Amino acid sequence: MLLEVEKGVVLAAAPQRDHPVSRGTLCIKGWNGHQLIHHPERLTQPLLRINDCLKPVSWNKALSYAAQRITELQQAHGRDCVGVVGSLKTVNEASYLLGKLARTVLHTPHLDAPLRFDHAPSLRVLREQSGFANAAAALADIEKAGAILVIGADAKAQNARAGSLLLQAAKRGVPVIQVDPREQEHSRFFRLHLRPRPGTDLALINALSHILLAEGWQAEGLAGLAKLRDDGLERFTPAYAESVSGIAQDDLRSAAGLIAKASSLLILFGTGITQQANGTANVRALWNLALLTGSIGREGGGLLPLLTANNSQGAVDTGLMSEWGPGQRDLQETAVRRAIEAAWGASLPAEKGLTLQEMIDHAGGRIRALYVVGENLAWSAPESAKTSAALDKLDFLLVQDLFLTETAARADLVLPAASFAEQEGSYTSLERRLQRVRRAIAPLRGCKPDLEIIQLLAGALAAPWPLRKAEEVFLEMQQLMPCYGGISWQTIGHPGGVLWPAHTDDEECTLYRKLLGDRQGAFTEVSTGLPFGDEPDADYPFTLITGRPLFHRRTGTLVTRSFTLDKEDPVATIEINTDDARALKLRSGWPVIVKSRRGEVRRTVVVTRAVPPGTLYLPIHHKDGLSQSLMPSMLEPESAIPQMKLCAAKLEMV
Amino acid sequence: MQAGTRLVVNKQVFLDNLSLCMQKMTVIGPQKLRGGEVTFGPLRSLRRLTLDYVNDLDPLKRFFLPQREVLFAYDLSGKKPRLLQPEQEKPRLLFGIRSCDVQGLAHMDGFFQGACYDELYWARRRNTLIISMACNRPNESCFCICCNGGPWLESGFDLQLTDLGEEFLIDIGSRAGRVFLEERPMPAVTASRRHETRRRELMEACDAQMVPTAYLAKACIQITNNRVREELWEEMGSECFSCGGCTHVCPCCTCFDVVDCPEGAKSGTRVRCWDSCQYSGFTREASGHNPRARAKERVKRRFYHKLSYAYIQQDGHPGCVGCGRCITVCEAFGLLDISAVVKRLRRDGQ
Repeated sequence: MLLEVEKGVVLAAAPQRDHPVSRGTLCIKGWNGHQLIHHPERLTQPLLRINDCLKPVSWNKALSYAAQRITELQQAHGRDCVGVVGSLKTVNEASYLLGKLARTVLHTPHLDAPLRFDHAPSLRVLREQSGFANAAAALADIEKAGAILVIGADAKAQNARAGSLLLQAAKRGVPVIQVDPREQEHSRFFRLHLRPRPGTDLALINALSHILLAEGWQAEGLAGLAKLRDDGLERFTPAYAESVSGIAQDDLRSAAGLIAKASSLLILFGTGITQQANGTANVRALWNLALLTGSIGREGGGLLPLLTANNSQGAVDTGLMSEWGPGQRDLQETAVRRAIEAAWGASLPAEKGLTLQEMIDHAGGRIRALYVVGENLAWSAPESAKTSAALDKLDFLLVQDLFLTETAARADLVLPAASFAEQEGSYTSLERRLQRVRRAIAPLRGCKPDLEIIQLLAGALAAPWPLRKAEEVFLEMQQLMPCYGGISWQTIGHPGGVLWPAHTDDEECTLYRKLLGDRQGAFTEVSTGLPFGDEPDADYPFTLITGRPLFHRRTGTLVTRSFTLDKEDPVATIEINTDDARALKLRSGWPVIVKSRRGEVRRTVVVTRAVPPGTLYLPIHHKDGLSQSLMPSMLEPESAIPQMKLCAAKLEMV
Repeated sequence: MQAGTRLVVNKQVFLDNLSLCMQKMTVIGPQKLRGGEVTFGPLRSLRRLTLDYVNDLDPLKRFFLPQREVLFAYDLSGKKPRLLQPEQEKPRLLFGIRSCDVQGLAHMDGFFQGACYDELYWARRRNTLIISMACNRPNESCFCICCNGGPWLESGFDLQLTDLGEEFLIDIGSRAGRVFLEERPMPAVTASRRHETRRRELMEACDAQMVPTAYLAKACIQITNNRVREELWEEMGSECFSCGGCTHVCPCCTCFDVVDCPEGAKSGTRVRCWDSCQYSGFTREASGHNPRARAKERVKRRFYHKLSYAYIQQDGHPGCVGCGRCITVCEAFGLLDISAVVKRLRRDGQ
């Protein structure tokens, strides 16, 4: 994306024709997102809470206060009383230094990124199976796929580029099988649309694998088939899947038939299958399905999780997830720890850190101070009332952001950060594409780039960190990140940057071919599945599911500051099936109160056949009617992702 | 020198004069970015100027109707309220603009005069000398020959250059263009038969490079007589990503929004920015009612505006100059750009 600048003001955004991914296109957010840069609500001074009121202070005072409070609390409660929450939007270099700051200067193991709330299961399974916590496919694979399974995702709304390629594939006649309870705008163009009961994806995916095996439609030369069958797959018969998911056996067989006939299977998936009780089990089942079709490591095949932010992958790569350090390396491995400690010249905390939701749950207890970079936790975490109360229990909440978000408004100290247009660095896209972002304008007066703030804070905490530029930090982090090896700062500045690993092969989509060679990887366990803990009953008869509209992004901090995007989404709605609406005597446009076992919000009814009977669909993160206040925060046991995709709910007239 | 007479000037001499203009005027021209893509922007010297370029994907209407502009700022902190108008801009010279964008400006002129007279637009328009470059390198998506948008034009420019290699063949389109030539030490000769022949050869070569087509006539009839099936609009609406890219890059699209940006209680700005008929917020009324709430209705509206006789009669031509930008920027690639839609409408009637 290019920005047009005049006299220090960003006037416009324009697409780049020679960019290998965008090819001259931008989505609605790309065209209009730049309006936030000069929004009058931008924070331009650090704000310190004095007498329960946030007052402007100088940067020197803000940083020394932060250092003093953190030091006091660490002396009183131990060094691990501090938690750090990274951002999915800051440049890689800032993310890397934030991880280093947390693990060496603050010496706390409690560091996590909001990716925990989206795709923790995807990354966990992919890393377990392949060694790499990232997509096992690239966007270009959508153009080469023999068949495509889209599950738990609205590609059009969540990633316009993926959605565009998917639409083109469907129009070319590539069989696209969509699995989603809700009908989406592009559903009509797909070959099959399976609409399972919410939360029953595991049975459906495993039944597809079951049919492939039973019919002998699996790829040739696969090892471990007997174990896969005996390990639980035999239970997932089409009849069982029908009883659980409501999908007719014939439809399951049709889907399996399309997959079997195709040269490769590409699986696109989103938070619809990860934010569930069976989040990790679902991704494991997808891995097995892709493997059965011989699609892992093959062009036009593999698994492509639709990560939600511009630098989600970069946050994983640079070490912001609790379990992995820079280069996605496992911090529990002694050799890895030693290598990182030697490079950083400091010891790392020995114990395993708390994950994001756990940090919130322990706020005011084990966690006394929280440093949150660019994330509106008060909105993104489930059970909003509980989250807000938890944030209030902290002795010190430090927030770094562009705007006074609902989280920043609760902070003791707020540091004003610079926007993407005001800083240098690199981002890594969901397909491992490492690209530079260049400074288009100087940081607004009073704001500082994240990279500089983190280094200044380290300095205030008495760490001897010189103030370095993004390029210098990039060179340092490369030493600890084999995945970014062999990539030069100049190369990532070209349109499209580099798809890592560039040092092993410069051809796209080859990561898994190189990695797995002929052996194709191994099957993983078949989970029997866990019951969902918030089932509908007589009091809460509906299953409520959430999703993200086209013009929205994460918690809306940025898009609501673009007047064009903000006006696209004026009314907080809830979708209900036509038959249910008739039974409840509801009409489109009427206000209702949506209640779950955790809270309630007021929304406007949209009556539609797009949602199945018994289901409500709630667009997330609207400023009027906070969706997350309804959703449960109980953790999925393996990946510690809150089960916030669905819950039991009821509607009441206002 | 008289308008209508073609002249020939040595290319280097012309460019040297252009370079001299940079001291007094803002000269905007095509320049290569790091990645090799060409975009138009202010030039400080000839060093970054390139004459070998396919047209900028970002339409040149942005120099007259910027994507975002401050209309005025206000300050209520003193005794008297103060209204601060934008600064007067230096005279500008837009060099190398392609014919499709010149034709687009002619379309915009029609919109911004009369009932919708727009002072800021016209201030920029009057302040800018247009030296266009007849198109010798169409993009793979160009189809201006279908829409009378180029590659050569008869009017709309101050000067129109044809690159003959060592020389520029110049069409004079206005008094301002003639004065520009007369005031500068540029030895000019009247174009000879050899020059004219070369010009014609270049035109034919350019025509031959046009790949896409947009046979508008049938589509105009279909749309004007409301003969397009609703199901087709429905299908196209479902395909649309509502990115607004087609309207943003269209040299004929003029829609904008005006918003107030208060900075505290006492000061702020009123800002105008591009809007798009493909956004649902564009037509939503204060009551909440939206006459074009669905993408289907918005897509239909866009092509009605572009191709119906009601608008062709009003504007004098269809709302398309054949620049082909919407083909490149459309997220629903190959489905909803004007060339594709015209084909779909034509076939739908058969």
